[in-house]
Amino acid sequence: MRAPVTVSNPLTTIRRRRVLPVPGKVLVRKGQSISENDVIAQGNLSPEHIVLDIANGLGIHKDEAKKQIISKIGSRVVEGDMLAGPVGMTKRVVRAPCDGQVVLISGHMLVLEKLSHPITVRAGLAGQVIELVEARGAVIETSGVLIQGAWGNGHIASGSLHCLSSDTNQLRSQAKDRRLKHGIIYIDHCDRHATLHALARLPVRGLFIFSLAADLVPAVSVLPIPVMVLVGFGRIEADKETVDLLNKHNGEIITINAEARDRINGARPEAVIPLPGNDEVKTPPEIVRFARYQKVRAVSAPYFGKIGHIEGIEGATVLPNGVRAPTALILLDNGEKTRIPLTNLEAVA
Amino acid sequence: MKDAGQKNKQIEEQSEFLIGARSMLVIQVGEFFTHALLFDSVENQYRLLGQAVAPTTANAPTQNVLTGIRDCIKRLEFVIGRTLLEEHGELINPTAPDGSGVEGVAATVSAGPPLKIVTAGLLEDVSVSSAQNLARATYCGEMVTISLNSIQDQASQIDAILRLGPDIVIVAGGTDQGAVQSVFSVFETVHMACQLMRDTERPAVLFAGNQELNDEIEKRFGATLDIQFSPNVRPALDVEKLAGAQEKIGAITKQIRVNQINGLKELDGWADGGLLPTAAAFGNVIQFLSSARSKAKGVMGIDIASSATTLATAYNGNLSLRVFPELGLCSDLNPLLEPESLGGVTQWLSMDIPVEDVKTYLLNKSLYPTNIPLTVEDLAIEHALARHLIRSAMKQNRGALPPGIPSNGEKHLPWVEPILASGDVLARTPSLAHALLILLDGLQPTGATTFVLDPYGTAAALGATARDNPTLTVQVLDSNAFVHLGTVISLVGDAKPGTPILRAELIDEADYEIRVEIRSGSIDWLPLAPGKTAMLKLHPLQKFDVGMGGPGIGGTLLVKGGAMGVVIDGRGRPLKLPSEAEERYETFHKWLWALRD
Repeated sequence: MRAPVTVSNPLTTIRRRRVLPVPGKVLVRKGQSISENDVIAQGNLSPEHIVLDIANGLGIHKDEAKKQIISKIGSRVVEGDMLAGPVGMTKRVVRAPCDGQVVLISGHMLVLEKLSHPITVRAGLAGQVIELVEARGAVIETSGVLIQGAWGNGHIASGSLHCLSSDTNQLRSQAKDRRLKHGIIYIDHCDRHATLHALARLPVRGLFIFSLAADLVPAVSVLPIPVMVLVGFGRIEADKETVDLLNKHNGEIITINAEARDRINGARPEAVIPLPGNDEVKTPPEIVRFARYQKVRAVSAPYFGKIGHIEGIEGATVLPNGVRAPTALILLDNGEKTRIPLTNLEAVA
Repeated sequence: MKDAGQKNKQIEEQSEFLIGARSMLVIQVGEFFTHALLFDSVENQYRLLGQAVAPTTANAPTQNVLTGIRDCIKRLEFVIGRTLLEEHGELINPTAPDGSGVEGVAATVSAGPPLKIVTAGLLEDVSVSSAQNLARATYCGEMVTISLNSIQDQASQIDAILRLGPDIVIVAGGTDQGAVQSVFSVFETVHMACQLMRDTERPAVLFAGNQELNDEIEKRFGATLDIQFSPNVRPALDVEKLAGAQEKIGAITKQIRVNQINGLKELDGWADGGLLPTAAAFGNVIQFLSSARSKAKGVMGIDIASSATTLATAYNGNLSLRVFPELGLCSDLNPLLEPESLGGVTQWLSMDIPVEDVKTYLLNKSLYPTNIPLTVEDLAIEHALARHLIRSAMKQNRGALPPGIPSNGEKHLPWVEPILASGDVLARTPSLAHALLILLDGLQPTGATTFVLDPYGTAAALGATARDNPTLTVQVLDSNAFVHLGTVISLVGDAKPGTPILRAELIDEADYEIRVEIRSGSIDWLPLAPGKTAMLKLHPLQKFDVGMGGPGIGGTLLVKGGAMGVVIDGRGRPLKLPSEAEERYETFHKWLWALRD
């Protein structure tokens, strides 16, 4: 059976497609080196329109009105520019009520698109542009540590990584620690508003948390800095491997892209610690099948977040709650053996 | 004579089809999992030979459903010991001399994001309301409404359409021989908005209004819009007719999915163009059953799937179909974290679980939607969630049912029989009693009905073939692909808990007699094996209504047995749960144990 894959890899090649949801202008070129906050492309997501009834405005029959329109589709106009006319003794005209662009002339109707603030798509990771996506964005490549997460609040930032204790008092005492300035903080767990408050008072650019209490999700969602949750919600014990990997790179530059998970295109929150690569560094596999010795992470209680290896794939098994499901026999890293439904496992690449 | 001749010819053709189509491969492409089931003729009856499941591969990284379909068929090959695919992955159809392959394919799809739909019409309470009801017959997510009597100006309506980026625009309006110019005005707004979109991003447009305008609408707007036409959903001010348009919206949904999801075109080819959206196919089978049954009651189907909950109710062959993508078991569950909704879930918990843990479960389910509950606590939350989703769907469905249908009052589910229930959450319960209780608590039927469980999700696929091959549908419904849970008698009335409210006698075919007294607030069952029938004499007390003509009126019923025998639900309607948590947990356990005895 195909397994969902989560990447937690000490050195890999990372390729990411960053595109606008609507057509726009690409602002980078192929081969360009970029940083995570560089704007790749910009466009207008939902511009406002004004519909002008030219026949009504000029006081003439609608069949005549089209001939009186002097603007062309695509022409940019400023407030007061003449769009149609003049007609009649009084030289009646229709003028642009605001700055904008003529986007449609349909019979006697003219549609003006108001100028609006553009939306942008940022790189999300430092690297090189290896491919342009016409009118939408680009593909960026880099190498380094890649750790994929489960949930993000939509922001991107980078800074030096600081692995701290989840203890609220310790976090409070570090509020004035200059070393943390512009940093990205990693803690194992955040389950109290007081802890979150203490974290929010740190002079940091982003938060990276192994697990987060469900009650804190509304507050974290509106924080102006990126917050990435690595595995899930509730109190989930951080696995040693991830903690060791992060501790190894403590103090190094890390980028967290806390974008929302999108199953259709495979986007998910992730953290990247850029490292020099070489030709031997490969991209992680996108497709993995559950098989013996496959490294997996459990993604449901009571083993949530635990890493282990598959010892065997089993058919339908009766679970402790009476439900029947296909399971795998897992040897967890703590030496415990257990049966977990295949649906509740992620392959770790 | 001519009619009779034609009918005979039709039956002959049907028989030829049955003889030819000995094996039928059913493929269901769900949001997360693809199911493959093989039916074949055993002693001239269709039987389920085997089924297999594999993850759906519609999304990244594979982004082609055929990969998942082939995985699934290969597993099925292993289960049944028969080759179905050629070496390069093409389906063997028709059957080869060595017995490999199949003779026919039925396919449904529910994968894909909820559809974005614009509903447009003249008056919000009339044509727009009907257009909205039509939109809810498919996987409608976000919806924008524009109407002539809206306070929005035309530019704002255009902006709203562009912001949504719709997949479908439904325009209704104008009763038959009714409004003309107003319909064109609405169409003009839609036309302008669509002209501002790229050609490839323009939605399908369905006109379901005044039929006399079809030609003129095609002439005026057909050059730039892909317009399809269906019967008027509001032929008169006080008449709503969705049937013909429902079929059309199903066809449009299919086309959108085929364009959105790689591999569906090929699957549609395997099914000879018969691929259907799962909800539409599920509706078909309910409609089919309704056409074949007594007119006194309707037929109901409920499918609690990952991507949506679907309610299909049909009376005399007229289908009312409602799809609730927001009420799927794996939908975005964040709205449920609002206190009111969360209370709707937690009231159904059968054990003491802190609210924080329920929130945690729901949030984690959003992250890992395919998870199967592994602990007793998680299972209790999942079953509470299922009850809440069914209740929410029922509440929203109330206005969708046609007026004047037989029922025990507006607040109760109208009389329906059977109730066909699909969905993984029901199929993987620890016992059938769990599944039946979820359904009874969620649907809260009244009077006598029967429940049929669809553990493999076969019903929708049968809907895809019901019109072409009714024999297969009939035979499979009676086959091992479905679990006939049995008959349920649900009482309506009010009495102090523990008060006797019904005396019942069950006399089976061997004249063996069982008597039982039901007390208010309890549920009990009488053994009656699947396939058996018995006479059930009901003597309601305390003016309770058993659906036999009014409060206190009893009588004798011929009832069918099932895996759960005959269940008598004396818990009252609407079901009142104890307000004290401890008492509630105890009550849930008592009900479950009463059925598991």
